[in-house]
Amino acid sequence: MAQKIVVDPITRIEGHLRIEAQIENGKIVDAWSSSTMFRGVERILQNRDPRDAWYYTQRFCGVCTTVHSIASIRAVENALGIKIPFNAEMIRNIIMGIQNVQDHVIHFYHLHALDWVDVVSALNADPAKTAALQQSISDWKFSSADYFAGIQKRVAAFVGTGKLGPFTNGYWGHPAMKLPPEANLMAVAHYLEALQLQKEIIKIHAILGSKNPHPQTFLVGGMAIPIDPNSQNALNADKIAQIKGYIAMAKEFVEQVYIPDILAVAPFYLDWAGIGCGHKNYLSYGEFPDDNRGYPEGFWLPAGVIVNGDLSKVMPVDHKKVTEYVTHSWYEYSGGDGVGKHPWEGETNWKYTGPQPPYEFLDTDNKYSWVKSPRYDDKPMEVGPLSRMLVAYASGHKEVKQTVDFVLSQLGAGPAVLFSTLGRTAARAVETLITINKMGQWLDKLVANIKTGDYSIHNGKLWEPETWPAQANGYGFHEAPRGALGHWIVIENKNIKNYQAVVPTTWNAGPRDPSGTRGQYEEALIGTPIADPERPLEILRTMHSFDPCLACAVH
Amino acid sequence: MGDFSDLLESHGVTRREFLKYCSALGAALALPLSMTAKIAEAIESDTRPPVIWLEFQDCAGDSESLLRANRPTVGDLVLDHISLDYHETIMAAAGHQAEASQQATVEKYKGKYICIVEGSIPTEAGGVYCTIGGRTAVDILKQVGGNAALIIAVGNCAAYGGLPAAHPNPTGAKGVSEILPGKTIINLPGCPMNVDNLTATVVHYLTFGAAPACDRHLRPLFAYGKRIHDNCERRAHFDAGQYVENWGDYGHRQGWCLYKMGCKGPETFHNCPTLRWNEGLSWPVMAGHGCVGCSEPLFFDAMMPMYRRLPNVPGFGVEASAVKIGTAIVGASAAIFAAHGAVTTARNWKKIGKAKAEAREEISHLNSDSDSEES
Amino acid sequence: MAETLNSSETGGGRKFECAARRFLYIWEGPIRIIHWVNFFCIIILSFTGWYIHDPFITSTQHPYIMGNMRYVHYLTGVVFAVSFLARSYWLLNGEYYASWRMFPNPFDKKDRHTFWTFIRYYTFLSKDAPHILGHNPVAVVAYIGLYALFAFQILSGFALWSQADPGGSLYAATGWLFAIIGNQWVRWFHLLVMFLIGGFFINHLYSVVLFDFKSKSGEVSSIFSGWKPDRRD
Ligand code: HEM
Ligand code: HEM
Ligand code: NFV
Ligand code: SF4
Ligand code: SF4
Ligand code: F3S
Ligand SMILES: [Mg+2]
Repeated sequence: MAQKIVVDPITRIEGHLRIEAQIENGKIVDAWSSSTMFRGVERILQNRDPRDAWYYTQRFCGVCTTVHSIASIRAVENALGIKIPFNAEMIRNIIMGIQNVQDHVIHFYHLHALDWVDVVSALNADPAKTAALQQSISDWKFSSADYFAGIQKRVAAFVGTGKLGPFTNGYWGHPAMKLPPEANLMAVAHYLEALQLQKEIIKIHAILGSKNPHPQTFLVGGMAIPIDPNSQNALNADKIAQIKGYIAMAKEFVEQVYIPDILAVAPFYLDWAGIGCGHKNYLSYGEFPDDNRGYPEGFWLPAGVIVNGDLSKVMPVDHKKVTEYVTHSWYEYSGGDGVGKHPWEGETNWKYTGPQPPYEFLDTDNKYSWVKSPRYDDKPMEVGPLSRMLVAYASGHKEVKQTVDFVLSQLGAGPAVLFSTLGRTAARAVETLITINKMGQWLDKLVANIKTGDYSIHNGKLWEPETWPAQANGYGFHEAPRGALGHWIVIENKNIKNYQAVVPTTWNAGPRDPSGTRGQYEEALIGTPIADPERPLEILRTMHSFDPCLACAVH
Repeated sequence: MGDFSDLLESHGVTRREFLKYCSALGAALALPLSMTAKIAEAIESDTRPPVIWLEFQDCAGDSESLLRANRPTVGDLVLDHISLDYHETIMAAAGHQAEASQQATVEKYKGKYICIVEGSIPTEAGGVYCTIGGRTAVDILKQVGGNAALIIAVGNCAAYGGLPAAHPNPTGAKGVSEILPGKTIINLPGCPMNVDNLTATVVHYLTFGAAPACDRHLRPLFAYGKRIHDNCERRAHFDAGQYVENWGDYGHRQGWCLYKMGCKGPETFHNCPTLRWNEGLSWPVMAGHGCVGCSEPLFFDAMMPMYRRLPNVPGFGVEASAVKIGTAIVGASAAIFAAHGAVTTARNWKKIGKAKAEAREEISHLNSDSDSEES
Repeated sequence: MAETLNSSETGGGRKFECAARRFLYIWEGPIRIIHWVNFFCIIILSFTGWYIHDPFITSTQHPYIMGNMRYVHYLTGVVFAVSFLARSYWLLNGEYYASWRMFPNPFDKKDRHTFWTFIRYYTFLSKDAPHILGHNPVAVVAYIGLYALFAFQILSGFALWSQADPGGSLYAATGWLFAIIGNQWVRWFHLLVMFLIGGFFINHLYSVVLFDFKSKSGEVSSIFSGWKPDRRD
């Protein structure tokens, strides 16, 4: 009994993702991942000032709103050979760190949670029992029965209006929903709390970079936030104290809510530790320059490649092994669509060949997506928190190993369960925890350096384009919330000659390559059980475990 | 009303509990106890307008901005003020279920709902550069936007085309008002829009029952009625001639004017300096980077390059500035006339002797009768 | 001389015979005043405008320097605009040499011929400098172009100024410009036109001196005194 289903739009993600899946006997036997939106920013970037590129690329995505700025300025700095001041390096770390933490919190509570939590079932919970559950998992301050009763009433009143707004047509009562009403009520409360929290902790971006989303503070050669403890218009003790406060606030929430929630919910969904594994190849570029050597030296989280789920071997990363295919993407390559191109030679020649809208199905035998297919050493790679944690874990990283082992022991399972939908979700939580714990150190290092009288935030030696060589190539890497991000730039006559971005979600959401090898999403969906093809909740679970961002992926 | 109580009861909420909730809400809002009945009535009548939020060629930055809302917060907004029936980044349903709830609202509340649009609309190649559920953005916007009471275009992309419309505009990206001319549209440009301007617009609409007054670019005057430069806290430094010359220099640390670093505040209408971002915490100039002009119709192209004050002529490379072109013109005309002068002089070398003689004659002539000349 | 005027073509210009040789009073007082007012306005507007474009003096020893530069720029801009209006009045109501009546008529064969004679002269295709009272037709075309630039500078300048109060009447009168080219490009052209006027300045000085020398018609002194010699011999 074969059936092809379409889920378009995949919601609670960033951007326009479409999944087509072949279902046989209640399981997915084949799948196609497509993005249906294209802007052409790589082309728009051509002939512009390389120092402006960060501002354009930042707008690849408003969710991971800092990461393309970072990758971009690093690419230009790499091309021109610019070293940035230590202060700027630490400020970047703090900005990147809180981006990851906040993005992960939003992802878990607002994008992913409704895959596991039945909001309507929360109305049947006993607030007293919910309070007991909350108190048993952590010391979190909002844990009284009255508090949960209040939340429940608010939800009831809302449901009572009959207008469910964004919760209309949700998968309430779906057979794959397993949580007891009390856990559901607790999760609903945390959904609302996290909504408050995320907008607070991201204020670190406003302090250091004027606003969020899209902080306006990046510079090729450093950062635009001046430092001067004796000025009211610069980073001073007051602002540092504010940042400290938000870090503490985030830490409290992650330790007392996010991690306990994962540990409390996971046991109900342990079957998802056996679903959603992809190609088991994992790539991380390494992140957070942690000492005086500066980027790209002395990373806190290591770079590396793991192939075939073999955690005993971590191979080094070589940017020259990255290529992109367009065999199944709506682009043309000058040398024919069967070859992979390294990003310095990369091309973005858009040419739509899909069905004319309105359409029901894509032509999945030919081209079917705006996402290109990146390959590392001709292999598909998964990127993201799971890859980062696996590379760090396999490299013997102390904090990662401790935390992962702790989570695994709580779940009573071995590392193999990490290669799954649940593993991705757990790895993201682990990463959030170790990152928020690390952030205080970067702030301390920044403060210690300011104390020596070093206020510099920008290296202006090569600021003016007149100082540049006629031709320069560069690349900039960053570990974004969703994984390994690379920008490649070719500068000619002070202009951008070519700009290519290979983005985390490009790695994960890409279509098949010329050999027919599936992308990560496609591979991960194989074998997923589908209880009700009309309500494909299970597809959402695995897709959301990757935290898709299609505006990033296509750009 | 009966329906409503039945609904509550069917979910295990009694009338008494409901009124208690209402008084608790009143207490939270510091309202007198007598308001309880009013609150109950408000909830019962539930006049929350349905809202459909469409995303096209966007980066979700404006959706993220929505999540930063504070007055009211996004939670309160969605639970109490509007009925956000469709928003892909937030909604529980996906695929057909999502489309179904969108269409239900369009049909049930035809001409009564608010449509919010984020991202530009591609028009080239039949609109294939953005499809959702197999339909093009143009198609969806014409149907969903066309039947709305009011359209709010959030972010520069939806208002004027924004990033996707930057040269060479690969997909023929356009703003909403170009697709639906004549509809009631409010633009809230910015990259992203500042969510406080969105909540204020919605509150204005709900309070006064009409859209706020707008400028010629359809931007509400309460938010875009003045230039950044005229409200900027660094304006005194601008007038005093105190400028940041290098990133991190004394002037930068002292909060001097960013004009020479390419600040576009003098040509940008937006309330950043007075409203600020993230609950009034900061704004670009306050944190040391110039304004980029993200709320203006010709953003991006006319506002770039970022670190120069004025744009370059497209197609000539980065440095085709007015000064370069102007100096070339002045230089060329100087060269042409210098050459002309040289040729003239050379060609008339022979005549010079004659001219001298003539001049001498003229002088003697004039000397002989001086009162005919006066100056 | 290649080209001369007969007395009927001197139109309404008052003729004053000078004892030694005939001199004509070509430039009425207001025209000369306007000429020099414009001259000084342009020097001041260009200097302060350039400062606004690139504040090259940035010392704290000059408090409020940008404010003062802008003040002078705006004030001079107003004087310049008044001067422009005055010249426009003379264009409509002035005597022959100052008025639109001496514009070459593109539909008139003789005017076209005169025009090409000057073009040929400027491009070395013919040798002798023609003599003409008032402006030569090529110069007239240049002046029309120049006044168009003045008009744009004034319009764009007031438009830029009006942005400080978009609710005001000045914005209502000039703000439509932004709807056409957007405010960045208004500024861009306002800056570019400064250079175009500079280009004219070089051209103008050269031509005036050239003709003074070649056609011996006392060009330079005429813009001070108003008198020009009638050179038909
Ligand atoms: C010959 C005529 C003029 C010249 C050469 C001239 C030149 C300039 C220049 C170079 C700038 C700087 C442009 C930039 O880099 O942004 C400027 C700005 C400006 N000009 Fe003029 N200008 C002229 C006439 C006028 C007039 C008639 C007005 C009307 C009052 C005016 C008002 C302004 C204003 C308001 C600004 C912007 C000043 C600011 O940003 O504070 N200009 N002008
Ligand atoms: C920015 C500077 C200047 C501008 C914009 C300018 C503009 C003009 C204009 C528009 C006219 C036509 C008079 C009218 O019909 O209103 C004119 C005539 C004249 N100007 Fe200037 N002028 C400038 C500087 C000068 C200077 C420095 C001199 C003297 C050396 C000069 C000498 C003359 C003379 C001799 C005439 C009469 C030309 C003729 O007979 O066609 N000008 N000028
Ligand atoms: N994929 C992706 Fe991003 C992230 N994280 C980018 O690099 O989300 Ni918009
Ligand atoms: S206006 Fe800016 S923030 Fe909004 S969608 Fe466009 S690029 Fe993103
Ligand atoms: S910083 Fe920008 S907006 Fe502020 S005064 Fe200077 S130029 Fe104007
Ligand atoms: S860039 Fe945009 S955010 Fe405000 S300060 Fe300028 S309008
Ligand atoms: Mg790319």
